[in-house]
Amino acid sequence: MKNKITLQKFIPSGWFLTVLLIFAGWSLIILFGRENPFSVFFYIIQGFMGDTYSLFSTFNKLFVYVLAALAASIPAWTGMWNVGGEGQLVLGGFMAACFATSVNTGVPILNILLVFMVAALFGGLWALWPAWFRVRWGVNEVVTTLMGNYLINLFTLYMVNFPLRAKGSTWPRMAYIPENFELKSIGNTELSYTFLISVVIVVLMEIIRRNSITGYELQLTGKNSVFSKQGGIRVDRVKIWSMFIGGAFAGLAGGLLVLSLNKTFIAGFSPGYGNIGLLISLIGGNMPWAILGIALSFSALQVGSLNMQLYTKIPPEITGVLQSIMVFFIAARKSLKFRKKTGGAEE
Amino acid sequence: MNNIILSLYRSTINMAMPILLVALGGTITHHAGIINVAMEGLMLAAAFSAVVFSYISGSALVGVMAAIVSAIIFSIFYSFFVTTLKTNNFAIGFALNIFISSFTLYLSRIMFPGENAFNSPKIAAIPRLSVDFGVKIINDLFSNFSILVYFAMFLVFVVTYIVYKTPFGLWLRAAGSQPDALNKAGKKVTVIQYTASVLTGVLCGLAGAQLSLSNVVLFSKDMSGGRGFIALAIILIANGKPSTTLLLALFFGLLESLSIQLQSTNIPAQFLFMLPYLMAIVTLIIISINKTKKMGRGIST
Amino acid sequence: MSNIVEMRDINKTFPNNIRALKNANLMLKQGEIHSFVGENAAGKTTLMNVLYGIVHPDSGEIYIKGKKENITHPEDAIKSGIGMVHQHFKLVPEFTVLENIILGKEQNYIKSGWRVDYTKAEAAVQDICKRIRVDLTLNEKTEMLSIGIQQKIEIVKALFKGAEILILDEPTTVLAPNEISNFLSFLKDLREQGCTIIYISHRLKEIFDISDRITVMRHGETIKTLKTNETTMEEISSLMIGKEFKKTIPPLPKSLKSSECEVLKVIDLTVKDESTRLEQVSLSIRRGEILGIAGVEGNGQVELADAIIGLQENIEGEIYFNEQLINHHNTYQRRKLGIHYVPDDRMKKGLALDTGMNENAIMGYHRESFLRKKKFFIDWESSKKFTKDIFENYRVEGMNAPEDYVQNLSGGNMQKLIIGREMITNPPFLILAQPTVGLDFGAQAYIHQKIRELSEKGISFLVISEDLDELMNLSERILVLYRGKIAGEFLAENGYDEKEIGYYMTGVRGNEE
Repeated sequence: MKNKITLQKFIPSGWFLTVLLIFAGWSLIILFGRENPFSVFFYIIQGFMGDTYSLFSTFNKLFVYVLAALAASIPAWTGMWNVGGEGQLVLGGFMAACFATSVNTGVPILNILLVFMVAALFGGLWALWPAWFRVRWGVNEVVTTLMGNYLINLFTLYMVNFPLRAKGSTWPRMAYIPENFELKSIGNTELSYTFLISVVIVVLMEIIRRNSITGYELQLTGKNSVFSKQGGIRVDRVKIWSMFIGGAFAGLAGGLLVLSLNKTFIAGFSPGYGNIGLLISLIGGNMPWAILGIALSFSALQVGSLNMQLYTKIPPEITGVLQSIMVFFIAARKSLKFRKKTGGAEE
Repeated sequence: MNNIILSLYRSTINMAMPILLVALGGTITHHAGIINVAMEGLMLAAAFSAVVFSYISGSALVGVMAAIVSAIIFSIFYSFFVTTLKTNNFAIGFALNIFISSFTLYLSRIMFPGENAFNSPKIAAIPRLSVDFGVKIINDLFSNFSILVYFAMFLVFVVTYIVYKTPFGLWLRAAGSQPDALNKAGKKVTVIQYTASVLTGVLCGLAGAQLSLSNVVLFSKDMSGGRGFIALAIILIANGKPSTTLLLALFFGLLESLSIQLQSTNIPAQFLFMLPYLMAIVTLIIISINKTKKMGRGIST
Repeated sequence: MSNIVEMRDINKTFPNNIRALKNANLMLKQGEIHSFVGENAAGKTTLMNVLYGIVHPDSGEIYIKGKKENITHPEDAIKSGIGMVHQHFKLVPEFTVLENIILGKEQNYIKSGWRVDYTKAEAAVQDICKRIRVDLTLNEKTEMLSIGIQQKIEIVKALFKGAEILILDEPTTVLAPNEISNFLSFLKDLREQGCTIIYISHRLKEIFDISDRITVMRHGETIKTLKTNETTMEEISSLMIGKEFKKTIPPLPKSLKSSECEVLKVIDLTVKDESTRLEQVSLSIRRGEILGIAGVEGNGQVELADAIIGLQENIEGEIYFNEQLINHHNTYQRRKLGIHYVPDDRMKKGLALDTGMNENAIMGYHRESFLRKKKFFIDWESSKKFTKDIFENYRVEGMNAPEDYVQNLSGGNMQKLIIGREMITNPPFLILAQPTVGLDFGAQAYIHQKIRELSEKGISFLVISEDLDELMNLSERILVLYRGKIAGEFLAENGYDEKEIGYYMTGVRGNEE
């Protein structure tokens, strides 16, 4: 026991030291790739905020991370584990593309809003059945949502390889969406509406969380469902709703990806955004503000590393490595801080 | 006709072994009360190390040793965060999986620029055990499998013995069921959990080695293919019983080999590959319904 | 006789700034039964946890058999011959009795191939059982056994590990009145065989029955140690509370007889899962009446309370509230009708520990108009006032700010918070399950007074309690629940006979099997 206390004293629990350690870890990885860490950092930073274009690129990619994280966080408020963000996101994107390439009202705004609804609806539905099985029969939603990811991936892979494949495409994808479905940028800046949407959603969720009756019921259900039940909260309903909303956010993310960045459904378009979102939600403590901040750093890393690849020989996979190292140190810091607070008195 | 059944049988066993090994490893930590979400990553790290070290040394044995060591290292890393720091196991598990997935590919590209897979004739595969029983049908059924396959079957008995017959097994199960009881009885739960993690590392190491040095002989991106998670589902369904685990692993092996066999037909590959995942879901649902009917839901959780 | 254990100047402050032990001392003589008394949170359990290595003191020394020992883990304590049986048993449900007893010591009973030698182990355990005259079936699965037997298992476990000193933490809270006397004889037996026992309790009758010496603790300090035959219960009580001990006043005869109007009526309530929890239970409560439900934990009380508040599924029978059938009403609707509930487990069911006082105080009221702002939002300002009201009216202490987490409160204050929350709006009907468990005499008396005040105003109560004194003090009628059935009914006006009620509580009298 005494050894553990002294160990704690050595491991830093301040933000400054955590950031320092993150950079140290990153440098090590970069050295493996036989590059100079400082030049790599420079290119990454230049990549995400070197000019307004890069800055906007970073902001334009933010929504995926934010929404994917909220997809896991809202269910987490009620104690449900939504590990299916990936599948919900892909399904949402798929349905969005299907809709956009088959129905057209002619009015851009209407088109776009309808796609939002379709994407969110299907994302929500795909989270709904695991939620129902969990609440009704105690089926572990981690397994069902996780397996669900693989099912959706395979299903959409099939669809986009055979029946729905765009003719003449070199990589399996659907036909491009018509122009009046595209999400353009705001005014004459490069900033996409997706940025606005994600910020608004974060603000909304924070307001709901802090002040609304729904927010209260969601969080109390998660903190103690038995207590909430005897207090009159309809705990089963709350849990199922939270999963639906989570799935809807993920689906919306997929739909926004299709409308704004990819302009169609491309096979394998998601490099695991759903899982990264889960990660962000966990280290962000499921709090909307923290999620926004962490998502921003993930987005910056993603965009920055694209630039870095132009100037160095570092393989693109480094992005995942950098992101996960950041998670390790942040999680360690969080856990150490928590340990210091509870101080080891069992019982 | 016989040939098809025979090849189906053999490929079932080959496909099932990695899942079996991972699931056995996860079973040990499951009894200790840890849900090991990082098995996917452990397996992948092991597969990569096996290939790299086999390539460098020219010996499959060195490859297998390297696989085991790397899996143990990451397993301890995972345990450190979950058991000692008490971090959320999903956070660390997923982060670890992402790290290993990216890092293995990163290293692979550095060592083999331009390639998507690490493939070379210099990689030494795990030798097969060719015993001649004299009777052809016995040979077809039991001979000429990779050494690890025989070892894996043996391990099923070993794990069952350890968990249910030895003192360590009692401590393991107590650690998972009533850790306070164990601590007050004078045995440190953390030590037990770390030991369990090391054992899981060994088994995941073997699984990864079997993947990349036997079934195929190369390393490719994310070649663990979700097996770590299917193993998780198997562990939950089997509730930690090695005999059931073996059956379920064989079952999934069968589904996997079916989907490969049927690829030559008109049924699109993707639907066949869906089968294992669907089966995991359906089986879990059936079991949960049975459990709920017997025990009642209690007050909701 | 020399001191077999000495604890000197033990100090402990927990991270949330609770000063649990202040220069606490223990001088334990070999072969004695030494009781530790004190109210809740006086520090008795904490001091023992220090001796057993579960809690590390900030300062102080421990001497065992004259030698200074450094106890950092239960393993050290066990090696020194100390065994502890906690209030909440730590047995592995899936293991057999034998496996639970030898847990941690299996390596002494190994045969070839590193297997557990169950035969050898069984022989060793039976030895001990014979010596202390306890009868246990060693290969039964522990989860099936009764609490009384589980407690015996815990004691055998401690002795098996070589304990010469036994620490028992509130051992009789789980036993019924007549089981207690057997248990106390058993302890005296152990003492005859050379065991030294530390007995933690707040039940003075038992303490005066078996102890040689008594140490009183209050607010983390060891106040005084006295020889039992040189003191009285009143002296000990006042040392415990720090003020004069007043016997609680017997219930005032009601000036208005409870009205004939039936508030709650339960007809043939039956709850079954894998066993029958409640069978054909019928009862009724009139306006202004206080009905007590007596019984040892686990005889259907929880199911009864849950059924009335709407948490129990699969019930047969009917429940009427103010003549209205409420079987299909959910909890929210029942609360709206005016049924409020203080659950039996304050930390698991009555509060959300890792959130603020505010959030806990408004549970059940969070949809009400007096806490609403602009239709969808909660008026946190009003809620803070509401919380303050509860704290003042029910003397809840320990809050610095309404946002403080509830887990910082002591057990007694948590209970007061819950009771205050449920009672402050004067709902017509209250279910109170173990309402004053963990409260000191002062707080208990205050709550009882509040209950009586409210019942004078016409509010009805269903009080479920294991504390027979409490029920006899409060209720006009007592029903005994045994094995899910109403075993007997007693009226205050006939005078309550504690022994008699105890017999019904343990099945000695009452319904035949």
